[in-house]
Amino acid sequence: MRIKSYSIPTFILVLIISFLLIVVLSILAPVFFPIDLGATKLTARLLPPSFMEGGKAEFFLGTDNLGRDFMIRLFYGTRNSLFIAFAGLVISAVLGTLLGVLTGLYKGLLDSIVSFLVDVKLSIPSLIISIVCASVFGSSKLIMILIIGLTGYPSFTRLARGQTIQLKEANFMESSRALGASKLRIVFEHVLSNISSPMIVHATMKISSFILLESSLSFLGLGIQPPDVSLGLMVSAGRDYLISSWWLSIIPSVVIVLIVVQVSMIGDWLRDQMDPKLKNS
Amino acid sequence: MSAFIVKRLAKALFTIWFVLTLVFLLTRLTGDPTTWLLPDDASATVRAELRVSLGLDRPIVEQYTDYVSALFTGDMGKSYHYLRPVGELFAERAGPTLTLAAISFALAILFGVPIGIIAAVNRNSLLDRFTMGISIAGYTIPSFVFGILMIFLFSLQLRLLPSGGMSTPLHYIMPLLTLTVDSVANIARLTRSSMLDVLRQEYLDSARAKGAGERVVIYKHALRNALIPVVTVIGLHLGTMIGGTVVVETVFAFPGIGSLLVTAAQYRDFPVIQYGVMIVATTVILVNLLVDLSYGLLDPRIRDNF
Repeated sequence: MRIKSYSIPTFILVLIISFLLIVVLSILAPVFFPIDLGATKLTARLLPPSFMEGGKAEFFLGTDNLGRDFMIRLFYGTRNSLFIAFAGLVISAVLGTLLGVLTGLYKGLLDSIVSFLVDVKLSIPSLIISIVCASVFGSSKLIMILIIGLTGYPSFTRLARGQTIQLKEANFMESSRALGASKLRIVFEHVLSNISSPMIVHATMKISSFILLESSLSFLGLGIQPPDVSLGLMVSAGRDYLISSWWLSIIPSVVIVLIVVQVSMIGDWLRDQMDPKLKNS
Repeated sequence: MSAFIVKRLAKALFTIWFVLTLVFLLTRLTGDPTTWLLPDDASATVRAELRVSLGLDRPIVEQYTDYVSALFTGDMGKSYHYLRPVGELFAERAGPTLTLAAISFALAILFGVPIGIIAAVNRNSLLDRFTMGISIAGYTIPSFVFGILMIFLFSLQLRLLPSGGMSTPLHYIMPLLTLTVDSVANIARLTRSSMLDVLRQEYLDSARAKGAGERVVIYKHALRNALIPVVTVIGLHLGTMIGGTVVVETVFAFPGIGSLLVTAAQYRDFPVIQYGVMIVATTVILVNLLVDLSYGLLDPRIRDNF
């Protein structure tokens, strides 16, 4: 991708570092705060954050309606949301890229089938597909990962297919074929290595939409189920306490927006680095 | 042209059929619905009765043919949860959802396209930066977060608007805003980038050289070409918007089709899910068919090649 280290603007660097910080903190949450998510403490219900009137120092962001430490739940929720989005991303990126490269290299029946499936996918909104899947298969982390993976692949397929078709015309591909390179070698050594940069950029830009899909599903009650926790579920659970304890909904909302803004801006910047022509468009 | 229409129509119908069959097969994968509709200790006779009343005792092929013919008769069977005809449930709730979606769709186009054009023509101006800033906010703030922030501000703090329901026009304001902001942002961003692409092209210089005024160059020569990708995305955007109504209706306790689908998913109410998916898929596919056909109106070259 030819990004030199010194060319990263401070602003982007701050975004990347703060995002990595969120990722690391949420990965390490069970190490720092080894708690049982289901455990409740009804004597400490709905405490405000410690910096507000009535807050206690022991609960920095206060407690929820069942007396559970809100900050710890926020870490666990972020952890679940990010984990599901990233795992879904891996599935959709690998599946989508593979299908895209194959259909780009070898047209024919596979190409027709895949492009039909992509059309079908585009004609039903992801959220509706997710609703069908959640009602049929129930809701669990694995199901959510699969839903995100299987609804997210078409854009990767389209991109990979287009890039591969362009590459096919390149001289070095022809030389490689003439020299007798095997099909596998062509796919792995030439195609995948040449299309990896645009795919990585696309993946970065997709993370935010996967985070949004996960949180929307959990918000609707079709994703992560209590006592487990995710950011969308926290926003939804806090809704009933908007009058008395607004932070229960607002803080996780802010965290979602913060993560999505960070990831989108990093993605936009990466894309501009890749292709300066796209800048400002 | 007519061969093209027939081909596209055939493909659209095939896609609708495929989606319907897929949903039918999926909902039959999970086994016997009476296991979760009735308490664990229900007797075998009660289970058998329920199966008969829901039509689940018949051969699967017969169920499938009934299901497909329901496309034309509208008889989609009974909801597992409400125990009422599915068609009735949808008829009750279609009005509010359609009103919401249609107004929002119209507003999104009415505001999104002009904002995008103005931003592109006055590139890097304060207005451009402002609209693009708003549009970034539009696509990074999930609609349920936006909705909850609005309830918090306008219903609970300022006490200006009702937070849920749909009995008065006032009830439509916040759901509409929530649904529309994201779409306006999307369409404005796309129109702007499509317009910028076109504004760079040389044929505009030749139009100027021939003495066309800037207004004519932008609104006649540039806009028509810039609109083709915009129209495509507006068509695809309809799907996103239908997904959006699901969330918005849940946030604002708005009794429409979207909230019906969410409840149906929670109760595994398959007849409702099947009918809902059928309506959504058919709408999106037909709108996109219209979009494809509209290219001809925008670009005579495409029309001639049909």
